[in-house]
Amino acid sequence: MTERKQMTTPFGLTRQITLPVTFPRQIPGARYDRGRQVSVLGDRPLTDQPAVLNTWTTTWGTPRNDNATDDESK
Amino acid sequence: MTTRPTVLIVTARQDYTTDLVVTELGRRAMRIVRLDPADDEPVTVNACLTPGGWTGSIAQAGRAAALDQIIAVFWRWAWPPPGDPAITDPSARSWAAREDQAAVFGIVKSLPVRWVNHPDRTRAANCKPFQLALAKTCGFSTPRTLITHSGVSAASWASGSARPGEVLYKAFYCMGTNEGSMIPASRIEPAALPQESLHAASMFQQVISGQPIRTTVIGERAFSAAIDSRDNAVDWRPAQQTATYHPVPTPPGILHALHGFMSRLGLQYGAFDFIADRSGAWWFLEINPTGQYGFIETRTGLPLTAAIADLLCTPGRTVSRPIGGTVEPCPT
Repeated sequence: MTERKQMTTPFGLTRQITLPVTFPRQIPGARYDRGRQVSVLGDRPLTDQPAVLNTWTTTWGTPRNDNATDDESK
Repeated sequence: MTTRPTVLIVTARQDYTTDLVVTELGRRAMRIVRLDPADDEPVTVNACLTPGGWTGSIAQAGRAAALDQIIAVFWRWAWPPPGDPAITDPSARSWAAREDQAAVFGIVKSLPVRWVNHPDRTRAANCKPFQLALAKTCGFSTPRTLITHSGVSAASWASGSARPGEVLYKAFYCMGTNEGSMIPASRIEPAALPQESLHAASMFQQVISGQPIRTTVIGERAFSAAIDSRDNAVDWRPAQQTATYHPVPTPPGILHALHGFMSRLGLQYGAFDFIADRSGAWWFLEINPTGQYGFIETRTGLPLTAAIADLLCTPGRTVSRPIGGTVEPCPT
């Protein structure tokens, strides 16, 4: 008789949620300006665009980027 | 190659928060070399060991820093190098990438300069059980906490809580298994816990009701902001795009404990999360040694970037912490 292996899920993963809103890791349309050493959007540095920075400098919503501050900082 | 005092920044190009620091340092006419080790454009080194340490240069895409001119390192998301893209064989490229990482990270990590933060210190500080134990030692109030593999133990411990809904589960690493998923801290019902193994070490804590506070510590300075997420969740992160933030003073006792905590871990930067309960007492939840701060600064006006720039530019005080080593005693 073939033994069927039951799926085992760690308790913590039962608490996993899908982010209601996610943002891509890279800001759409932004590019890194090697001369200025900052990213620009529409040729303006992000630092001149606080609304954009608000969204992309949070600790939530850009998977494998913001949470990297928790999980991947080396 | 320019030979004048230089701040070396090591982070991913997608670390947009660091753009604030680059801009501020530029405003102060400080020379900056920003490296992204994970970029396809390789970071290269040419370094010679001398009695005074490594001399030579480190460079990327035509921008170089003389190692003996580096006065401070701002180290954040230094992800591993991919290996020279000219190498077409994947295993050969992977081998080269490891060699690059050993050399580039190793040389930079050995620099006897001011660090914000040294990665060895960051690694030590990232360990949440260690954080909680150290927080208690330094005088912070900490929530009752249980870490266990046993569902029975968790249920028994949670049932001892004052009221249902007063216990939360919190993962050590909040990233989920799929893109776009996350494991936030969340309330649990003891009855919903499995009666057998939890199949992974699991952390449970007493829920502390009150006002979430984010305190960003930079050198000796602490900047606290209250977070109003207008919901009853125990984890404010899901609501942070719509939350409101306002500066609040850091109580003297908390400031003292923060200095002790930072000193013992050898950190110059840390983003701490607290809850201020109804009596006004602050409860330590965790520290993120490379935590984001841009959203706090843009919404509160707290001068976090300027404080980081002050730290990176301050002459005469070098802090060399290349090796993890032992933690210093808590100052009294």
